Amino acid sequence: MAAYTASLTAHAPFVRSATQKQNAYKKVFTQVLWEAIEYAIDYGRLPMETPSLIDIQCEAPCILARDERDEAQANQIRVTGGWKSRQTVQQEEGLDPEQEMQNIEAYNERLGQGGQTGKAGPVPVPEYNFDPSQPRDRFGKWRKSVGASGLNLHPSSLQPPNNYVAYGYSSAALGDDTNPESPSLPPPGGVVDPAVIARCRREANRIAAEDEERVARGEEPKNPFVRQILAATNGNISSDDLRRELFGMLLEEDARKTHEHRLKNDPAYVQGIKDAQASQKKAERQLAIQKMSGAERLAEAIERSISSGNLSSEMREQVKEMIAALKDPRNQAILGSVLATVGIAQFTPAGPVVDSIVGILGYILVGKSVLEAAPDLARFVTMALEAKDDSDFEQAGQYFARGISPLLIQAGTTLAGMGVAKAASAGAKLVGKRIAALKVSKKPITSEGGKLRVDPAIIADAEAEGATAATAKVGAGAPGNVERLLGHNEYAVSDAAKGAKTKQALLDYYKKYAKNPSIEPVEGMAGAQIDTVSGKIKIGREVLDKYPHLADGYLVEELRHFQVLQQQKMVGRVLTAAEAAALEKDIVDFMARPESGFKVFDPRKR
Amino acid sequence: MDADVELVFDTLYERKPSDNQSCFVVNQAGLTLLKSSESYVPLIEQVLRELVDPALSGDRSHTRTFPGLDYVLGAYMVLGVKANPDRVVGFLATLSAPLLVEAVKNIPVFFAPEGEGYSPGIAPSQELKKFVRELSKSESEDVRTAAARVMDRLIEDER
Repeated sequence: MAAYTASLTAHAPFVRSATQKQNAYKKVFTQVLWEAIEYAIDYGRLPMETPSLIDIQCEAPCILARDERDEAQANQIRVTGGWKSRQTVQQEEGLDPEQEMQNIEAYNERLGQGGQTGKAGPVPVPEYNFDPSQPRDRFGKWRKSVGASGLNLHPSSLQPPNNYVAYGYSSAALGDDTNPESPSLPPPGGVVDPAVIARCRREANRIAAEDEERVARGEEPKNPFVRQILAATNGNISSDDLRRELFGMLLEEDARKTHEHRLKNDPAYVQGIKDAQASQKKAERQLAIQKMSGAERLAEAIERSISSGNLSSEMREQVKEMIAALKDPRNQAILGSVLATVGIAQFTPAGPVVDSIVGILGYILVGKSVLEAAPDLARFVTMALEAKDDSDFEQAGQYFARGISPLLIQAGTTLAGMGVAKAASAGAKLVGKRIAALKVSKKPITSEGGKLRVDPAIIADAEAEGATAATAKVGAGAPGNVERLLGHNEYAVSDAAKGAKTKQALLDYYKKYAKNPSIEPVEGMAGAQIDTVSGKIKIGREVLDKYPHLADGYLVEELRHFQVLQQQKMVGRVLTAAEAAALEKDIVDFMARPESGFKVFDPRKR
Repeated sequence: MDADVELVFDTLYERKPSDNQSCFVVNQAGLTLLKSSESYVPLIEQVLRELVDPALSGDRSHTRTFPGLDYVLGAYMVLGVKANPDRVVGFLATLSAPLLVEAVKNIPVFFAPEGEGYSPGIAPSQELKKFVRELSKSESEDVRTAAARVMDRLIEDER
């Protein structure tokens, strides 16, 4: 530290070198400013005598290391002593003197000169400049031929304040060349054209006259303030605030009329407003998109897939149900936390992250625990998560439709020939359960050899949550899908006589050997089950009511299971997986025999 | 909820079914209850008396409301016979006909000989058999039919 402070003394080589460079820069910067002033004079923006009235001073930051408090006290003494200006001090401190001047003036204007609180405010600095009330033309140039007449809204006192700017109103809207009644207004920063002032005066008088008539008719005045102002100013009350208020009101009225006139007569103006409104709407939408979570973005893009033209009508119905499940707030919350675990919180999905999300969605939407890497789905995920506007979502939706269609077909969930609404409803419930199941895994998807594999723990938990039942429900709605979902087929009667014979033989066996024979329809259950301890058989009410052609197949299947369980002395306990698999194989063989009277049901050949 | 009560209700409502995907199921909570201690006997009695019996009296089809009722009745009789057979018989006698029929029909299921079904390691007590025999002469046809069938089963199992 000692070496550093020593290097910042006045005679140190670094300080001398830096000071020399500062001097060079100061000279160049000052020259640039003079050039700008000369240009302004050439264009009539500044008076010719400006160079003789002003000086430009350029100060560089202090290089020497000094204590800030000591330096401030020293500057106070110098300014008070009159050998250093405030402007120089401000520049040394990196402040813009002009900006500081405006701030001080605004402060004084709000609190009054010296402050109404009794505290001494910032010291007012008299502004040296040309006369700002000098009239300008519409391009901001001073028009020497026009005298600096002032506003003179009323003969006595209604003068506009110096440097009055028509703030708050669009000069573009007011300066209407197509409207002969509309006077030209100065650009922002200029003073008001006398023609405008004259018109304002006329408007004020007209408004006041109308109100006089209203009052004479016993009605309430519409613009009492105008009347009050006029009355007040006629009484020689000179208040800048009152003048500003009245002038602002009149300008507002003028702007309104101009606006109405242009709405009727200026197509470009109308188009401009429409463009501005569209632009505003687009900006608001983009802001809303920015705030969307990852899960919401995916659901939004999937929604667009419906109108992409790449989905069949059945698929569209199914996707609608999926969207409903994805948009459920509870599912959104769970899915959001799942997506966060694979790192999409910042919407910067890299390759592995995209793969994970594709795998998650594949599992949620089509129930495939192992998914081939799908380029279109990867594009969908990337585009949806990075979407900035609706067109991005549209594009993402198209990728989704193209990517999901083959999966739906492969998974057999297109439910060919079945009631779409019913099956889709089951699908929506299933989607919700799958999302719920995902929450239990910290690493839901792994990528191996180009395939995306769902964590087996998720599958197990999905089953525990009841997804199995939902899966079975989809299976019930989509015969042919059951083989993949539950590990067995469905069977329909191929020969009525043989089928009846098979069924009766098995029923007789069941009645004879079951300790408490019971075949019970159960609401809300898909397919059929057998309790291996009690021997009780349950069959879904839905199967009996809606798929009677499959009911006998289900019943014979469970009765045959009991027969084998009894013969193998397996009744009364839990089966092992191998035993269950062997029983499933047995039923396939049993039903495949021609004398069974049953055949595997194929929904496409109904 | 108390763990004991929870186990009984898990069984009664079959809240913990098998964890496999096949059509072979068991009532997992029921199996646990069957192997639990005799202290569950009073609790099961209370559930049967205050919840199940009122629901079933007059309409046996309400058994579907309690999908795991067979396991609850089986557990009650297995645990009760181990602890106090007279108490079991005395309690069963107080039940209305629909619930009594269900109880009787499940005796062979949960007292099966080794290799013939669920075997708790004990045979139904003489008191229970005598009770069923008396029921086979009941005025209620449902009770009489069920008891007669069960008696046949029990006799068959003893051979």
